[in-house]
Formats: sequence, C-alpha cells, structure tokens
Amino acid sequence: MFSRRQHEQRSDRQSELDLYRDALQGSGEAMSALYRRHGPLVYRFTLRMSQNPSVAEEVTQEVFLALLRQPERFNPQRAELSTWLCGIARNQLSRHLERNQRFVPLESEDEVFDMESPDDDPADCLTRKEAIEAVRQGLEELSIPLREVIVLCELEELTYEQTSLILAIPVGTVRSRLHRAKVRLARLLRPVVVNTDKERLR
Amino acid sequence: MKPANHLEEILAELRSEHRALDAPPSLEAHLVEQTKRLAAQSRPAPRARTWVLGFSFAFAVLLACGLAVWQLNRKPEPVQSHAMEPSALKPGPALTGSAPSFTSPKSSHHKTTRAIAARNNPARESLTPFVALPASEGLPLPAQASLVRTRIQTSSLRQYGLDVPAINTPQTVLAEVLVGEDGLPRAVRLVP
Repeated sequence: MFSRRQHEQRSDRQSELDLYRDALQGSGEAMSALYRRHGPLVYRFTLRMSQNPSVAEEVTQEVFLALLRQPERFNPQRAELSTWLCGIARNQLSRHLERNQRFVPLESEDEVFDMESPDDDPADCLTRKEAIEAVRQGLEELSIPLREVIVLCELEELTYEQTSLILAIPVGTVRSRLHRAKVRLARLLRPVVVNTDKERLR
Repeated sequence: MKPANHLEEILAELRSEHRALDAPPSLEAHLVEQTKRLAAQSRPAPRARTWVLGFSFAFAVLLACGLAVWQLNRKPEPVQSHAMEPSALKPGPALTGSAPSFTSPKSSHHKTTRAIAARNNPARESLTPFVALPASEGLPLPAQASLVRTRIQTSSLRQYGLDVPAINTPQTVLAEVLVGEDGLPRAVRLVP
C-alpha cells in the first residue's frame, strides 16, 4: 500500500516534470495543465495574503511567467514545483506589498498568550456563523508571518516541512508561529463572547 | 466546548470555503499565449537558422584560409642584407657567356629555396636578372654570399651592362648587389 502510494507520488512528480519541460518547449497544453494543477494553490495563497483579487491575479501570473522566464531557478531536486511556486508567490507578494507600503512588521517573538481559559465557552455564546465570521476577520487582521502559516498549514493543509521550505524558515519556527496564530485567533473570539454574554444578561 | 477545539472546527469550515476558491480561467488563456510566445522568441526561425549556419560555415572557412596564409607568411624577411646560397639565384640572360656560373649540384634544394624565396616575397620574381660585374671575372666561386640592397649611380650601372633608360631615370637607382664571403661584389640587379 505504502509503496504503491510512493510510486504514484513519484509518477505524479515525473509527469509534472515532463509537463514543465513541455511548457518550456512552448506547449500551451502543458502550461495549461500545470496551471490547473498549481494555479489554485498560488492564487488562494496570494489572495489570502493580499486580500485583493486583482493583486492575487497579477502575482499568480507573474509566478507562472517566472517559471518560464527563469527555468534555471527551479531545481526539482530541492523542492516540489508547488512549493517553489508558493515561495516565488510569497517573494512577489512581499515586493508588491512593500511597493504599496502595506507591509506589516513581524511581531516580537517573545509575545506570550494564554491558550485557553476554562471560563470561556464560545460555543455557548456565539452562533456558528458569528464564530466563522469572527475567525475570518481575525485571519485578515493577523500579521503577515502568522497569517502565512495559518493559510499554508491550516487552510492549504501543507506539511510543516513544505511550509518551512516556502517561507524559508525552520520547521520549529513554523510550529511556534502556527501556535501563536491559533492563540491569537482564539483570543479574537473573546470580545464577541463577552458581548454576547452581556446581551444575554439584559 | 474548549476554544481551541472550537477554533479547529471553524478553521475546518473556513478551509472548505477557502478550497472552493479557484484561480481565474482568464489567467490560463493568457499564460498559454505567453508560453507559446516566449518559446517562439527563444528559438530562431528556420530561415534565420539556415542563414546563421551558412554564415558560420563561411566564417569558419575564411578563418581557416586566413590562418593558412598567415602561417605561410609568418617567416620574417630581411630587407637590407641577408645571407643566402649564391646558387639559389639563377643567372639571367644578361649573364650568358660572361657571367660566373652559380649552378650547384644540389638542384632540388635550390628549387626549394627559390620557392620559399618567391613565396616570401612575390615581388622578387619580377626583379631583373643578376648581371655579373666585370670586376668579378676571375674571382673564385663564393661558397656563401650576401645580398646587399643599396642605391647605385645610374652611370655606374651602365658600365656593368645593365639596361638603364636614359630618359626619366633618376641619378641613383635601387639595386641588389651580390657580395661574396670575401667581401667582393660579384653581380648586381635592379630593384623595380
């Protein structure tokens, strides 16, 4: 079973490399297949990070064009194509945000949060819709380093190793950032909880 | 329910919502177009490729010819004086009868020497033949001789039997004098 999965992964990767070579030779079909395979991931990541569909489109296009214009930068021995594309997307996005002065500085690493409080029970206080909206809002308000890990690890379900390759940080840092991001999101729910409690008491 | 667990549930909900997002199809068409355009730019057109090949071949041939010519002309040629085998110089018609004979048994070697001399300076072949100097009569045949290029009085040349036109001739002319190893001149010829 395991070897079969490995074989499938290997053949997937091989077919992906074949597609990539064909795209470099000018095959539109190969590029189309690569885009259908990895475009959504790149687009979703850039959209979540930029919160702007037009910027996400622009960056996604630039990422795939970089694949064609600078093929020497991609080394299949070092990274998977999806990981490499996301890394390029991140760099392009960072440049874009710097240009538009929307860069949010990294929060201090020694910031400490209490993870949970036994008194709080948001499930009792919030409707599911409100909770989702609160987390969605909280996600948008997170700092870029924390949002990156939440998007990649939680929403895209990439492994810590893949995320660490994309963000060019150690796996341990990915773990700690993810923890902090989750704490922050959980904390962002509290005001809503408190308000709902007050409303209930009235 | 604990907030952490609740958050996980909410994140799962957001995940499914997030995964539903798809990349815009308009980008796909644009990328396909760009792929074809970039590939076409990177490889030369067939006709241009033929021209490039033709030019490369012609350039290689020219380079080879140039190198061959350069290799042949690489030996420096002395201008004023150089030692050479007297037998390498064939006496001209003016020397018939009175001129000392410079023929040597090593005729094949002489031909080679002459060929090299002619190749090194093609103008030498158009030089007038040597004329034996009257003063050289009776002198022994030199084993080795030197060729000295110098300016000589026109009047002196006539005495040596050289045909120098009287009209429009400068007072001195450039000539090559064959000097034996004993320092005595043997023959002379004009340099055009």
